[in-house]
Amino acid sequence: MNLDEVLATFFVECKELRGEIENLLLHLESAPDDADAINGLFRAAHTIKGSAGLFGLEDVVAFTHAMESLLDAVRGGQVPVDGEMIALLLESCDHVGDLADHAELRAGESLEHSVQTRGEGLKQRLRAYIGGKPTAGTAVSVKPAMPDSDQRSGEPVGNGNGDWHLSLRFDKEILKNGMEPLSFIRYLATMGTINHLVTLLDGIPEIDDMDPECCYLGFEISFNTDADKDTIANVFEFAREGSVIRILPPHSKISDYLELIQTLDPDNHIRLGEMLTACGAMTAVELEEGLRTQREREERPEGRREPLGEILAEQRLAPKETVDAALAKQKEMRESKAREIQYIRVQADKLDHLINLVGELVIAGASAHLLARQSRQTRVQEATSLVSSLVEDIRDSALRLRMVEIGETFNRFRRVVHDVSQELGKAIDLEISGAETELDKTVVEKISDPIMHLVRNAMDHGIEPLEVRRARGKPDKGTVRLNAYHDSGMIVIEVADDGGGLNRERIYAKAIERGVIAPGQTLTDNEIVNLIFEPGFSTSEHVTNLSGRGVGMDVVKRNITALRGSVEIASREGEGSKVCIRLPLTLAIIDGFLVRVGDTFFVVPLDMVVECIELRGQETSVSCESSYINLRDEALPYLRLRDIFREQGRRGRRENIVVVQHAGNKAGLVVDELQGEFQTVIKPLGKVFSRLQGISGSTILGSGEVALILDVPGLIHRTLSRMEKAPGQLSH
Amino acid sequence: MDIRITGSGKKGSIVIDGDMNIYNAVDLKESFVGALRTYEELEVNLAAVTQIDTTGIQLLVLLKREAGKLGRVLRLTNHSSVTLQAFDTYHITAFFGDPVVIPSE
Repeated sequence: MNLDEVLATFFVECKELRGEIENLLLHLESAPDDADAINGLFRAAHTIKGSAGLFGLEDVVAFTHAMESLLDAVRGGQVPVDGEMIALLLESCDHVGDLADHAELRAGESLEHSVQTRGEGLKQRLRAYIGGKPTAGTAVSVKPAMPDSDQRSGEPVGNGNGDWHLSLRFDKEILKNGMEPLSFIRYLATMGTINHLVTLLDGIPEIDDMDPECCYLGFEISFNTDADKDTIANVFEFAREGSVIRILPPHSKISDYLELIQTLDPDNHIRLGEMLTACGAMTAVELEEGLRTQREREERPEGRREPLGEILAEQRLAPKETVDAALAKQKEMRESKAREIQYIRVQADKLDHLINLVGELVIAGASAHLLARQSRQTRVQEATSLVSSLVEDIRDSALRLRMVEIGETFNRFRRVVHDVSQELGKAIDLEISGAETELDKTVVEKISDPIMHLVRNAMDHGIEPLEVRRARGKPDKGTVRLNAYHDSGMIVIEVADDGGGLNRERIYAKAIERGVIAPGQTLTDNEIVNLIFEPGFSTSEHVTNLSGRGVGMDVVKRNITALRGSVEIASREGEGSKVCIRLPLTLAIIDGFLVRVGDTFFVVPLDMVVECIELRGQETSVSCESSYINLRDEALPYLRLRDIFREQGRRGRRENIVVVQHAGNKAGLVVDELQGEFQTVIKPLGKVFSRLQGISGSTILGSGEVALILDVPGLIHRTLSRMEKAPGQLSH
Repeated sequence: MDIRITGSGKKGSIVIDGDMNIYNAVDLKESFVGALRTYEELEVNLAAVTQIDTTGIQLLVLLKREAGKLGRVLRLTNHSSVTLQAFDTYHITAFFGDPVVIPSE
């Protein structure tokens, strides 16, 4: 197995675990006694430490150890949870993130000084919380036979002197292959200091069985070096095959050593014990006690030799924590195994490839379907329509594979709100709803930053200072709400606050000042507040380091538009604002409704189609550019696609209106012919067409022709703005 | 490599002249085993050992262990500097328990 790949998995997991830690910490804030959460925290920190140790990420191990120690004390009830501790642990969690990032991106380089200093400071504060009791290496020298509260200060750590422990059992054949253990060890000595070395001679067989050309020696080495695990392992690169090479990083757990012993020398615990003492992994007292018991038992008639590990544990020589930790680890492994069954980690590009293939399949299927229809053979048609419906199912399942709940993204903002509210000195709660709403993973990834900006904005500019809130008769604590739900094939994400709302006059004045609008231009209230999405627009009187630099809202809008989404803000002065983001559920394949205008085919996303009606002359009313019809006593504005796209081709016998809906607004699109439902694989338009209005993409029809996908939100907006600007007309 | 085994009665002596390495490990083992079975008190003179590798060390360890099992005496004497270095690398000087003269270089 490639270590780098496993390492990459570790970094991903580490990130997830950090998220878990954050969530649990924030949860503890409101429920400081939740034992499950505390246990969860401990487990998460412990897992990070354990895995980091596996990869020899010493910095991470040493630091998470300090976190773990504190959490263990919390778990044991010695230290109560308080707000300061949560803040400290959150900071520590960030530090772990920095350390992991460092290991991921700049492996091998030494840590920046500032990071190191911060780590030391945090470690000291973490220790101070446990009551100034020493942790790490010193914990071992505390006589473990006496259950003492000091023991709880952390999982016991062997090898307090910071040495690596190497266990080498060479393959018998290596001498014949021209390798020489003596040279390995001599080379090792050039990389650092061999503090202890024990040569295992017991592997040499009886005199008659001994092949003088085979290697029977094993080595236990305690080694001090600045080199990393890879470098050490590379010394034995050529001897690796058939040999057992175990490298334990400094400060490994006693249980790790015991496990090492058990696996390497199941029958030879005494020597092993000696080795451990010699190498400083265990203290002589611990070992002697363990060995004496072992001898005593051997002398008994039944004389079953018990593994040293068992005896040590029984005699509490290996402290209980080690055993507990081992048990917890086992349980954790079982749990993670159970989780593995539920989830399969798949690389995103494999999934993308699948979606692409499904897209091609849909196009190819459409073409087969078309040919079948033209062939007028019933059985071929039946077969292809069965295939089509299966393709549709496959498409849906394939797309669902990429659907993730937005809750995870939302939860990330708990931390943001927590931090920012402290920074700003405002008490702010985050309310989350609709967390189970699903959307495409690629969309989730891209939407996180815009939401972040909106949340920060809401907290910084939206929520008023305490005095103002009191004067307005609002509760002291401000609220930011995140909500998500599905609506006509789109996901709607709302970021709302109960703050001061937007000041229309100020926005209007600013817009004129900045030349965004011309003086005297009449705008609806709604249009005014949405001006804040225009480039270079910021109304905040003071710039904070959070937001208000005038870059932001326009970037938010641009990002969302790039996802074929839209954003708008609704605000009531003194009551709060609500930003509404609408995004397509997926960026790949949609159900479409195919229409023809002249010689061109257009696709309307089916989720947005409300109904289709025939356009009859007597019901229409035409005024300058905009038209509307009376639809069941309701004024429905409509656009002629023929005019918009300047279609010159043949006209149909009669015209039809496709009624579309977006964000609660309806409009009609006049087309020549309705073609029916069509599975649409969205092909993005090239850069050249990025300024094109009314079109959001293209697709390929079964016949090989290209159809354009209509940008319904854009068209509706265009229809409505024309209506509003035409005075004397019906307003919606 | 040249192995000379001499002795009279219970006492025997082995002198190794040359390399104790994988190329002559098989011969070396045969000589060692033979000598061990012949003499009750055996001295191995390492003064002329010019090179020693893991096989050589293993054979000395084997010899020492078998001697112990049979209740016989094995002494290593006059270690050459390469032998001492190898013993030192493997930390097994104490295993043999022989007095060693550390060369003053």
